[in-house]
Amino acid sequence: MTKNRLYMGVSAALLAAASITFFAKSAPAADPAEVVVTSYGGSFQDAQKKAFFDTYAKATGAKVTGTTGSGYAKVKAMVESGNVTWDVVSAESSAHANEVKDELLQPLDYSVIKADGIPAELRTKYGVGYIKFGMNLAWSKDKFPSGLTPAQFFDPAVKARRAVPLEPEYTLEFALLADGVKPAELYPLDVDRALKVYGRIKDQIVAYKGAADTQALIQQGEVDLAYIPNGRVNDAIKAGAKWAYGWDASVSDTEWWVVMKGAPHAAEAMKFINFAVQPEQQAELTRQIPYGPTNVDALKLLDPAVAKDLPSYPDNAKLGAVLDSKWWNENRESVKTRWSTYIMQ
Amino acid sequence: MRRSGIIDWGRLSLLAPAFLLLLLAFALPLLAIVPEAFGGSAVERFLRIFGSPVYRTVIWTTVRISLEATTITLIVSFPLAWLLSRASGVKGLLLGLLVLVPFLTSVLVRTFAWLAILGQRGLVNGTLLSLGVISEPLPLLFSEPAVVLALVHSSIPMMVFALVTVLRRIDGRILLAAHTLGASPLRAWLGIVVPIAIRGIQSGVTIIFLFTMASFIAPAFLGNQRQQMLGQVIQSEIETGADWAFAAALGITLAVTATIVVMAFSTVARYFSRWQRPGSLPPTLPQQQARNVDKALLRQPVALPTSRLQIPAIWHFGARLVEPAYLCVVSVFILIPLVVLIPVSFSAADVLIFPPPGYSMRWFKAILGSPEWIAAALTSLRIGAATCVATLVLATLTVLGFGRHFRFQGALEAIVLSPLTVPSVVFALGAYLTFAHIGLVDTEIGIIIAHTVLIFPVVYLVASATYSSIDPWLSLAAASLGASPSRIFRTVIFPLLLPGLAIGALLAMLLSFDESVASIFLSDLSVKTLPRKLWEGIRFNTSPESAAVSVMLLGVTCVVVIIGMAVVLGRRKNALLSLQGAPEPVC
Repeated sequence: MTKNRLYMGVSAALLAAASITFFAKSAPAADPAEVVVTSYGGSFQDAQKKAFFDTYAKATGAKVTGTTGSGYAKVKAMVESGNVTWDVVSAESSAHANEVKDELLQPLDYSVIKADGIPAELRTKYGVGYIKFGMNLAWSKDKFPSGLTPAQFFDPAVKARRAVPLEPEYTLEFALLADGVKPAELYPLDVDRALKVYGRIKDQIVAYKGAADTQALIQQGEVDLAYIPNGRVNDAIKAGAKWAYGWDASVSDTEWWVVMKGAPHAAEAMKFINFAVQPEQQAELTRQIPYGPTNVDALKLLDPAVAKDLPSYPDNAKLGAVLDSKWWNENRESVKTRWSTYIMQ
Repeated sequence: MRRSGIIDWGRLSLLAPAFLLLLLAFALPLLAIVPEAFGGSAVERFLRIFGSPVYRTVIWTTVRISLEATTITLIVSFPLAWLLSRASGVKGLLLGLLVLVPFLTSVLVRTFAWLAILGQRGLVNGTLLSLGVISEPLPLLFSEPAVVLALVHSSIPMMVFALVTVLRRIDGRILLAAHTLGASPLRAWLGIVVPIAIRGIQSGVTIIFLFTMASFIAPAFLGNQRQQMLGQVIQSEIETGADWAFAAALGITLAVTATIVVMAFSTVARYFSRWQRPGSLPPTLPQQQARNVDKALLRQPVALPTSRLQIPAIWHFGARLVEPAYLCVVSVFILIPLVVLIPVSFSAADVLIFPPPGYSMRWFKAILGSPEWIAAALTSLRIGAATCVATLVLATLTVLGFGRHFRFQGALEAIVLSPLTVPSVVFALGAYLTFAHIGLVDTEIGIIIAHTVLIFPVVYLVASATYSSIDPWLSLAAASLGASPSRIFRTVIFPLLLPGLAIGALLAMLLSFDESVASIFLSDLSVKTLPRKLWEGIRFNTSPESAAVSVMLLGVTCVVVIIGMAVVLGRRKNALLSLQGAPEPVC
C-alpha cells in the first residue's frame, strides 16, 4: 500500500508539473479590438500586410491577424460547421459569387464602409471589389531573350518547363485565347478545345497549387514559362529574377473583400474594410504590388508609370479577356473534374 | 507476498492513465473516422472516390510510389543494418549516429533539403554544370524519382532499426559454416541470412510501407500534379476544409489500401521464408524442430566454387573495397540533405542557390528579429515541454505498472505501441475530426494531446528497456536488508531508471519539437508551431530563411543527441543500444 501511495504521490507531483506547463500561458488577457484577415500568402499577402494590416493596426490599435488559405471550400466548411474564425476574406470573383450563392457571407455595412471612388458595380451587398489583377504569360529572359507569344507556349517544339495553375479557372481561358479565340467569344468555354490545346505540351507542364508557389518556382529558376498573376511575377522580377511578362492572352479578374457570416469580429471587419478601400491605402497596395486599385481616387495618387503595369491600362486590357465568374459559377463542378482528371494523367 | 491481489489492483491503476489516454485520444479519434466516412450518403462518397479516374490515379500513384520507395529502402538499408549489427566500439557508435541523427531530424527539414539539392540551381546541377558534364541544368525536381528519393532517405533509419534488432541475433558463424559447405556468398546471403532475418524484413517493410503510404510532405514539395498521393489529398481536403466526410472516406481508403498491400506482402513473405520465427522458436523437441527445417537445402549437391576462374587476389581486394565504398555512398546519401542546408542558410542570395554567391548572417538575423518565428519557437517549446512531462509520467507509470511480469503483457504492450503502427496522416485526420467537435483544434492542448499519443510509445520503449535491465535481485537485496517498498523505489529503482527517463525526456522533447504531421493538421491560426510555420514558409517562399530555420532545428537535434550521448556514455554503455532499438514498432 505504501508503494502504491508513493506512486500516486509521484504521479500527482508530475501531473501538477504538467498542468503548470499546460496552463501557464492561458491566463486571460484583456483583448483589444481584433480582426482576422484571410488571404493567399506570399508576396501578395506581404504587400497587403504593409498596405493594410500593419497600417490599420497602427492607426486604430486593433490587432490584425493575417492568415492564408482563402477559398470558397474553406469558407463554406467554416460557416457550415459553425466554427468561424475568420472575419474578412479576400476572395476571387468566382469564389465570391459562390459564397454569395450559398449565403455564406454577411451583408456589408455601408454606413461604415465609405468609398465613393469605387464604381457602384463593385460595391455589392456582400462584397467590395478592391483590386483588379491579371493572369499573364511570363517567361525567363535567359531562355527566351526575345520574348514569347501565347501560341509558342503551346508549341511542343518550344522545349521548356511550363507552370500553369492546378485549377481550371484562367488556365482554360489561356489555352483558348492562345489558340486564337477572340476575347468577346470566349464564353461559354470550349473545354474540349482547351484540353486539346494542352494536349500538345502536357508532358512539359508543372501544375502549381497557389500563385505564391509559382513565384517560388520562378525565383528558383525551376520553370522557364509560367501563367501567373501579374503582381507575383512583377515581385519576382523586383527580387532579381530575370523574367518578363506580356499582356497578350491575359485574363483579368477582380479581388473582393467579404465578411464571413458569423464572423467573430464583424464590427471591426467593417471598419477594416473601410480603411482598406480608402484611396491612400489602395494606392499603397499598388505601390507594393502592381494590382490595379478599384478606387478611381487612388489612381490619382499613383505615378502614371505605374499605371502601365496594371490590367486596367487600356493597352493591356484590349489584349486580354475578363473572367466570367457567372459562367464558372454554373459550370465549375463538371469542368473542374474533367480538368483534374486530364492534367493528372 | 510480492504478487498479492491488492498489488495487482495497484498496478492496474498505474496502467490506467496510459490506457485511458490511448482509448480517448487514439482509439476514439480513429474510430471517429468510420461514422464520419460512412454517415449520410456514403455510397455516393465512395463512388466519388473509386468511380473517378482522378482518385483512382491518386490511389495507384500512392501505392506505386510507396512500393518503389519501400523496395529501394530495403535494398539500401539491409547491408547498413548488417554492418551496424556486427559493429562495435567507435565504428558502432558512428554507424548508430549515422542512423540516429537523421531519424531525429524533422521530416520537413529533410524534405526541404532536397529542394536545395535537386533544384535547377541546386547542389547536383551546380556541381555537374561546373564540371562541364552537362550544359543545361537537368530537370530533377517535381518528378517521381525526386519524391521516391526523399521518401527513401527518410525511411532508411526506421528500416535499419527494424532490421538491426533481428540481424543482431544472427550468429555470424553461420556464414562461415555456409562457406565451408561450399555456398557462394550470394547463396549464403539469400539462402541463410535473408530467410532468418525475414521477420525483421517483414516488420521493416510494413513500417516503411505504412509511412510512405501516408506521406504528404514529400509529394507536396517535390512532386508535380502526376505524383499526388492520398495523404496529400487528405491534407489539402482538411486544409481547405471542404468536406470532412469525404476526407474521412479518403482516410478509410488509405487505411484499407495499405492493409490490403501489407497483407498481400506478408502472405508472400510467408511463402518465401523457410524459417518464420527464428528468434522465438517454441521450446519443442529437437526432432520436431528438425522436421521443420528445410532439408532440401542440405541435400543439394555442394556447388563447386566458381570463383576459381578469377584471380583470388583481385577478388579479395575488390571484396574488401565493397564495404567501405558502400558505407561511403550511403553516408553521403544520408548526410547530404542535413549538411547542404548549412551553407545555404548562410547564403547572401534571396533564393536557394548552391553554391551560394556570397555568405551572410542576414537570414538568421531575419529569423531572430521576427516576432512570428520567435513566437512559433516558443509555442513549440511549450508544447514540447508539456509533451515531455506528460509522456514521462505515463511511461514511468506504465513501466512500473507492467513490472517484471504481467498477465497479457504482450497484448497490452502491443496496444501501448499501436500509435507507432498507424499511418500518421490517418491518426491526424481522426484527431482533427474528433478535436474539432470539442474545440481542441488550433489549441496548444490539442497538439499536446496528439503529440503525447504519438510519442508516448517511444518513451515507453526506452523506459521499459532501462527498467528490464535493472537487476531484480537489487530490490530483493534491499528488501532483505529491511528497506520499505517506497525506499526501494527511491534509492534503488528510480536512480537506475533515471538515465532511461532522461533519454526518454530528450527524445520526447525533440520528437514533439520536430513533429510535422499532427502539427500541420491541428494548428491553424492561433497556434503556430515551428514545423507548421516552416511548412507555410517553404510553400510560399523557398528563401534561405526556411533553410536557416531548418539549420536551427538541426542544431537543436545535434545538441540533444550530444547531451543524450553524454548521459548514456556517462552512465552505461548498454543504454545506447536500448536507445537505438527504441523506435522499433511491433507489428
